[in-house]
Amino acid sequence: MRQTKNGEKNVEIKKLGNLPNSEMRLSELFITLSSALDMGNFEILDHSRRVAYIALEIGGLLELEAEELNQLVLAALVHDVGIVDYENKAKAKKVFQIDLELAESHCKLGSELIEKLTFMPDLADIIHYHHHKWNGKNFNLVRKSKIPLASRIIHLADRIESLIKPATFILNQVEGISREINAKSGSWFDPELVKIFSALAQKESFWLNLKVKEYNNILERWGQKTRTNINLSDLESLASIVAHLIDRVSPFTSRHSSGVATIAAMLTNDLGYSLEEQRAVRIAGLFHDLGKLIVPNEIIEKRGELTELEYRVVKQHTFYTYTLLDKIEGLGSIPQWAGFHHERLDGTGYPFRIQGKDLNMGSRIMAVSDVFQALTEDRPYRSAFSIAKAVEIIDEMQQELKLDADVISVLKNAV
Amino acid sequence: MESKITEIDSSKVVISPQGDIDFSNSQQLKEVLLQVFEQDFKQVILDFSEVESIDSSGLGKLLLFQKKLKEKGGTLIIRNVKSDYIKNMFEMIHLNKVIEIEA
Repeated sequence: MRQTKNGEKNVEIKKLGNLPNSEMRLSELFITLSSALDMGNFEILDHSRRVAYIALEIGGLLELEAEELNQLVLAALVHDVGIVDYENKAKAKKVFQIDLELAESHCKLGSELIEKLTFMPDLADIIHYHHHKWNGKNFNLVRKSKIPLASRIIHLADRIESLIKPATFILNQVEGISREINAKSGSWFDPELVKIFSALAQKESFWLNLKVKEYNNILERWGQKTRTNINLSDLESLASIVAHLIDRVSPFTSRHSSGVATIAAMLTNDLGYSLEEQRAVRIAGLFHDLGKLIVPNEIIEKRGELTELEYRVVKQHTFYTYTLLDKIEGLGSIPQWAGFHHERLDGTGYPFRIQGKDLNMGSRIMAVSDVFQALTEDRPYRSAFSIAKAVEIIDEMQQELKLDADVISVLKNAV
Repeated sequence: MESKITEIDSSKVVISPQGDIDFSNSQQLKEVLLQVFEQDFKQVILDFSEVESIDSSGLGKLLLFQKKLKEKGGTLIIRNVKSDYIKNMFEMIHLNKVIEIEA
C-alpha cells in the first residue's frame, strides 16, 4: 500500500473508473454531437435539434418505417457537421440566400466526416444531398426522386426552421412561412413533401412545440427507440469527429485533442491498465475539449494575456464538456475523465472544485496529459515549452499537490 | 523487435522497425530513436512497411519523439504504412495531422 505525500491512503482512489456500456441510445450520442455543432459565441442555439424535430414530424406523417425514421432524425441532428466556422453558420441560417458554394462545400465535407461512422453507413449519403434542390442545377446533377428521401425532408425542414424569427410570436409567422415554402414547391422542394408540410403547418401544436422547446421532450421520447449496441470502436469514431470539430477552430489548437488523447492512452497503458481501458481513456481524450466550442474564437486566438472576464468565459468549457457527455447514458466514466481535466487534487481546479479523493485515475491521467500537451504546444501569446521545461513545470504542480505523482512518474519515464 | 537503421546522408536517416510495436518493445524503439536523435539528423524517416500493429504506448512514444525532434528543428516522417489498422488508427486520433505520413 502506497501513501501519498499528504499521508492519506490512496488505494481506493487508484481506480481508473468505469468502461462504457455496450448498449446506448444513438439519439443521445447524436444530440450531444448536435449540441456541439450548435454551440457558438456564448450560447447554445438549437438549430440542429429543431430541424430534427421538424423532420421527425414530417417523417411521421409519411409513415416511414421505424428504421428509416431513425436514420432521418439522426441525420437531421448532424446535418450541418460540415459547416466550419461561425461566419458560415450565420450565413447558412439566412434562408434562400445560402450560396451554392457554401451549400456544396458543407454537404461534401459533412458527408466525408459522417462516413467515418462506419456503424451508420447510410447517413453520409443523406447529409451529402441535404441542400439538393428538387428541380435544380445540383452539383452532381442528381435531381428529384434520385435525391434520397431523407435528404429532401431535411432540406425542407432546414429551410422551415431558418424562416422562423425568434422575436416574433410564432403563430403570426405561419402564413408567411407557408407562403414562402409553397412558392418553392416543385423547384426547391419535393411537391409531395410540401403538401405534407401544409397539413402539418395547420396544427398550432407543431409551431408551439418549437416555441416552448417541447421538441426536446419529443426527441427524448423518440430516442428511446434508438437503443443499440455500441462498441468502443463505434464510440471512438464519433469522438474522432468531435475532436475534429474542436480542433479545426484554431491552428493553435488544431492538434490538441489528438495529442491529449495519445498521451493519455499511453499513460493508461504504461500504468498497467487493459487495452479496453486505454481505448476508453483515449476516447475521453478526444472528447475532453468538447465544451471549448462555446468559447468565441477571438478569445482562443487572442495574442496576449486574457482579461479576467475572458478567462471566466474559457473556464466554462469543462463544465460543458462534462454536462454534454453526462447526458449520454452508458458512457461509464468518460464524462468524468473528459470533464474533470482542470480539477486539481488540492481542490483548486475548476469548475466543480473536486477534491483529490473524488478524482479517479482516469481524471488524473487526463489532467496531466492536458497540461503536458498544452505546455508543449505553441499558443498565440507564447511559443511551445521544451519537453524538459514542461516536465519541470508539471513537477512543481505535483509538489503543490495538484497533480498525481504516479501518473507523472510514468510520464517522466516515457519522455 | 528489430529495427534496421539506414543513414541516407548526414541529415537524413531511415529507421525500419519490424513486427508489432507495443509496450513490451516500445522502450527498445525509444532507445533507437534517442540514438538517432543524439546524432542530430534533421529528418528521421520511419519506414512502416514491416510494421503490423502499434499500441497506445508505441503511438505515445512516436508523438513524444516528434515533439523532441521539433524542438531541434527536425521532422519525423512515417512512410510505407501497409497495415489498414495502423492507417485507420492514425486517422481516427488525428495523429496524421501531427506526424507527417507519406502515402
